[in-house]
Amino acid sequence: MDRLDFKVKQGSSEVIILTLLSQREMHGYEIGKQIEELSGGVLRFEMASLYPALYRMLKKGWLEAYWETSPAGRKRRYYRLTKNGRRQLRPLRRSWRQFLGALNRIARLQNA
Amino acid sequence: MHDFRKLVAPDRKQDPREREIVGELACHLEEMYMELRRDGASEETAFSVVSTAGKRLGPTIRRLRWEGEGGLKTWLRAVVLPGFFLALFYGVCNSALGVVSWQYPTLRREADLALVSIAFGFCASSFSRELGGRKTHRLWASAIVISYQAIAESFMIFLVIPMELIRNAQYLNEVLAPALLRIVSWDVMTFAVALVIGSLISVYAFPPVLRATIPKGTPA
Repeated sequence: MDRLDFKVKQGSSEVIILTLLSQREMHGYEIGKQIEELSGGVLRFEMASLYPALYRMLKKGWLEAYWETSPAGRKRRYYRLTKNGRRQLRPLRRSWRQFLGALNRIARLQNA
Repeated sequence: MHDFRKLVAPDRKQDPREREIVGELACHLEEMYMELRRDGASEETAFSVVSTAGKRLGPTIRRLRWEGEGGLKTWLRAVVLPGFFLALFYGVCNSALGVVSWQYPTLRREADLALVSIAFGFCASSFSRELGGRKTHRLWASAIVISYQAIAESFMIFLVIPMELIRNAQYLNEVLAPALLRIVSWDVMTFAVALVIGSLISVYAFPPVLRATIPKGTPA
């Protein structure tokens, strides 16, 4: 599938990042790779959009970050969900489900 | 091993917050580099791709650096500073063009100013981006540039011309109405449209998103 080169809007980036981090802690590059792989290459976060999104969520208190040295001896800054972030995830996912459901009903995306 | 920190921010003094940001982005580049190498890219190719990405991170670092600051500081830095700086130059150019068109009446001052407006709108928006401004900041910075002209024209339209109309009502149809129409159509609309075009070109043609692509399976 061709890669859609578009800027993922702030709202969708939040639900994507929060969902990924609810499964396990990850560093920035890993988050970007996971998004690309899980979306089959359709979604791609560039550095200039990924890190501002992460820092925004840090500022809101949804995430916390810490430095850790990997077994290979490389220092990486990992992100994990805070309790507040976990609380945000459920309503965010619900509203996205409603939005996509509505979009699908109108635009008949399944038949596209 | 390469020093990826130098790729992100070469030869710069950094405070602790900026050091942390640079460190994190350097880790990202390092991961990028290692993945390219794993995919079979030569050391030279991989480093060149990563270097290109690193060189374009300046605005991102500034944006992250200021993400923690209050909204007012960001607006002062990314909107007011570039906006007023460019507005000042815009005023100078406007006056200079006025003098030139006075000397050479055959020149179309409006067309020249429209081009100047496009250029200044573009510059204000780009300047704002370099200072870490987001799309909204950049559009506002461009809008400030026109404020100089807009205030002057508004003064004319809403104060001077109505007063002249009252004083010289008998000439309304012959002289003042066409003059008013000319000012509205050219001196305001032209500048506004030109500035909008300039800022939109800057925002959409050069978005602040790093578009360095990492070719899959780069030849070794």
